[in-house]
Amino acid sequence: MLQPRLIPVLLVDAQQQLVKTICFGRRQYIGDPLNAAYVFSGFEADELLVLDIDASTQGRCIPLTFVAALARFTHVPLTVGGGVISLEQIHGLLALGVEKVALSSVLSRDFSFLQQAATRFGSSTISVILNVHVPEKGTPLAWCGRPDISMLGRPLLELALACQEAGAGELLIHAVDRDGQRQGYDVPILAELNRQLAIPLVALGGCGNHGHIADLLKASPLSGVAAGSLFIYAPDTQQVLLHYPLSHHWLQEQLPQLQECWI
Amino acid sequence: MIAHHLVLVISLSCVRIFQSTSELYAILWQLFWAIRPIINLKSPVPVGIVDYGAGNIASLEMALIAAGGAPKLAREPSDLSSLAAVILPGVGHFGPASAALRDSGLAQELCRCAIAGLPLLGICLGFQLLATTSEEAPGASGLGLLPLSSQRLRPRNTILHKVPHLGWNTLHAVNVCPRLLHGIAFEKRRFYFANSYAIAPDPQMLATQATYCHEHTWLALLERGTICGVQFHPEKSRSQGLQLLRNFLALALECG
Repeated sequence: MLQPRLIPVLLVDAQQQLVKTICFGRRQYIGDPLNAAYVFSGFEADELLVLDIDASTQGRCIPLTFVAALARFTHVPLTVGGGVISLEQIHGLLALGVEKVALSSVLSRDFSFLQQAATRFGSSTISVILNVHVPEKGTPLAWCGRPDISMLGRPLLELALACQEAGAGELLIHAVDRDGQRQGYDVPILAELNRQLAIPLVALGGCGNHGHIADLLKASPLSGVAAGSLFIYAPDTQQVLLHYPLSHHWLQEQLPQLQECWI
Repeated sequence: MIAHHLVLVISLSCVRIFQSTSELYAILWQLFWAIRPIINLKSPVPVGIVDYGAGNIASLEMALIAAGGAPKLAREPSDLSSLAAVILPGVGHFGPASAALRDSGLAQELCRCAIAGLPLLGICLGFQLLATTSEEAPGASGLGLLPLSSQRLRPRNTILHKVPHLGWNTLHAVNVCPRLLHGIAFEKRRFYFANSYAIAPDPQMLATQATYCHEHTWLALLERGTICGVQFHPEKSRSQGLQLLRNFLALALECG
């Protein structure tokens, strides 16, 4: 039985510090990303997602030396992203031992790049991050890269289906408005999207406790559940405490119940 | 008088401890020599990784070193000599991978070595390349070492079963426990998969098989003599993946 993946998300800034953001804005310094990756690898996390959140605005790729160190410190599947714009960069990252490369802002300029990357490296190595904003009225809007007022977002479903068509191996749905809020996932939108798509879907943004994960997975069997705050802070505080095994055990216990919901 | 007595008692008990520890050391020493040929503590096992340009070999190299191997990249047929075992990794597309193996002459040499008894492990696409054909590239042919072929995953329930099949799935041994899973606890038999194509198990085939479920039952692991294949990525599967690679290296030592 394939189990939903619990994925800790590590956000890295230009100084290669581990940070946590709130609604893509205010940042809190957490610590050293390599150390955190090493800790989560020691916890035998299902997968790690590491994103350089300053790379694309500075017009550079996530540093290869940093990723090389990351790959050396971890023994779990690794997804990295941040400012990747060329096939050579993807090749370089995969050669270092990265499992998947996440594409985002490059696709807002050149969507055909997704198909090129998926054809050359195989779908299962290419993830796409869609940043989603839900207006008070109307359909949810999605962007590849940072949501920008000057660039209109596309309807989420339309963009997600386009990504699937172009060969994306996985979609990471990042709820911008919920980032760092710890108020729960946007369950109806994610469940509907999972119903429409044939490729794996990972939810990111808004998770604060195990109840939020249960709410989401009861509604739909998502392939992955990613969270920053949940694994980085001590429960219900802003104090840094990296943890994972409790959540993993919790999900193992919930699985029989969840499987009944999915049939 | 009492102090003298005490010293005597202490020295006597020391002798007793010394005697028992020396016996213990002797037993341990004998045990060490007994298991030395099996686990081979001293020299890392020379194991080849076939490099035909299909992506991420770094994590496999690191995992093999951690498992007690000495990985060497094999880019030409001559690189396959003087190895204890060889691994055919793989990420990418069946067609170009099969063409690259044939053009470099590695395909023929791999078949020759495998038939001669060199332990061979195919991982993911590398496993599918050991078979004869794949739906991914109908014109291309694999090494033909296993009379199997891979097909596209086409689940009916696409809400529950996604393609690519991505994540941690549990293994079920079909008949006997495969040697590659020795020492891996039942609840730890979960491995990391990333595949869109898979091989259906063949109950008629004389081979040790283990399967996973993705709507239907698919082959996760196969052992036929010294030819082994796994659909998942042991190099990405944490401690149980390392144990699997250790088991493969132990198999190589047995054969060597």
